[in-house]
Amino acid sequence: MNRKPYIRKIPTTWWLQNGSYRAYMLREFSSPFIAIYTGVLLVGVIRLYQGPEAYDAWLTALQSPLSIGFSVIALALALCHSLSWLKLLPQVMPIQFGETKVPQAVLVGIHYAVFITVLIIAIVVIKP
Amino acid sequence: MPELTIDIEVLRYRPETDDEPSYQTYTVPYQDDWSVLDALNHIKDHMDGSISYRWSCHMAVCGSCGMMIDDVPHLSCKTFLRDYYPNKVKLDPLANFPIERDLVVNIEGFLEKLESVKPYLIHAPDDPLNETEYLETPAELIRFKQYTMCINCLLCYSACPEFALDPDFTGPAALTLAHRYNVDARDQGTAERTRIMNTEKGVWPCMFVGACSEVCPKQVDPAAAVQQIKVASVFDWYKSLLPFQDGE
Repeated sequence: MNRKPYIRKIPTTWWLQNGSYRAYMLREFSSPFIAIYTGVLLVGVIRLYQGPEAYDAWLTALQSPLSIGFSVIALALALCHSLSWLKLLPQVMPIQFGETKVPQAVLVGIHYAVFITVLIIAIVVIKP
Repeated sequence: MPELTIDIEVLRYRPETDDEPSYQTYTVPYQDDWSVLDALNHIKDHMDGSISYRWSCHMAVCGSCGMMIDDVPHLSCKTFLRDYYPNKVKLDPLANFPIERDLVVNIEGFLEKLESVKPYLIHAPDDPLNETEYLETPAELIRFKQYTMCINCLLCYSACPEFALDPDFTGPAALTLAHRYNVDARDQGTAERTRIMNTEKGVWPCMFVGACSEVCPKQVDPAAAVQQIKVASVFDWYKSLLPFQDGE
């Protein structure tokens, strides 16, 4: 008997099919925003090098509604991106002591603790 | 009391007569201790003997009865009608594989990939097998034990969007078994497998969606294995840049 395997087409909306795919696409979607924000910060460093007036102009530009709006979106997506990686981290770097594997929740918990500590230090130390 | 029933919607494809698959609905008796596989066996035995599907052990060990149940990959033997009742249950063959007939898919591509990653213990040719004991301590066993639980049911391939988009991708289960042997202290085949896993069809197409681990019925966590291979590959690449290589 002749075989005639049928190959199903993948819809272009495959990434909407379930929560895992949507979470993955959101993680990838956040990347350009983080890249653009990194570019904005780099411009800030260059403006700082150019002198106080240039740096003040950059700070003023950051206060425009467009810039604030972009920063809020970039912050939300950066948080989303970072937290998604914290969730995945124990799969990439499992830690084992002797015959005991460190539970995934403990590894994630430690990273959250470090993340929040660094955040607090950054907010306290780097005052405007 | 009238007998309770549930509708099972099955994708049928008979290559000798059909140009494309279509759904056929069977109304079967509802019993809360029936798995989806029990319902299929009832259809096969009492309603339509022409329906085709794979199964063997009925206890989540053989890995034969994987299918899409309401568009999610599951083993039909450990998925129960009571979790869907009173709604209908929609059955499709495992996604991302060519349909051979009804719920049976063609898995030849997977078998070739599995063979390609050399999923067995490899010893160096000059290794004196008959003179040495190959011990594995409990601590060493824990490093890979979860990966030995893979039953090759292919649910992970059906969940993997990378495999959906590129059928040549080596894929979760085969890569996981490669990793299982790489981290086995008795094995000496890592270099051979690394050559295969570092190709463009090896680990690197994986985008770490993680869906493979979510659907795995044996908690093997293939996504973890694939990421750990990537980490090992990066170290291997840096090592290759060193001026003095092993054995030189």
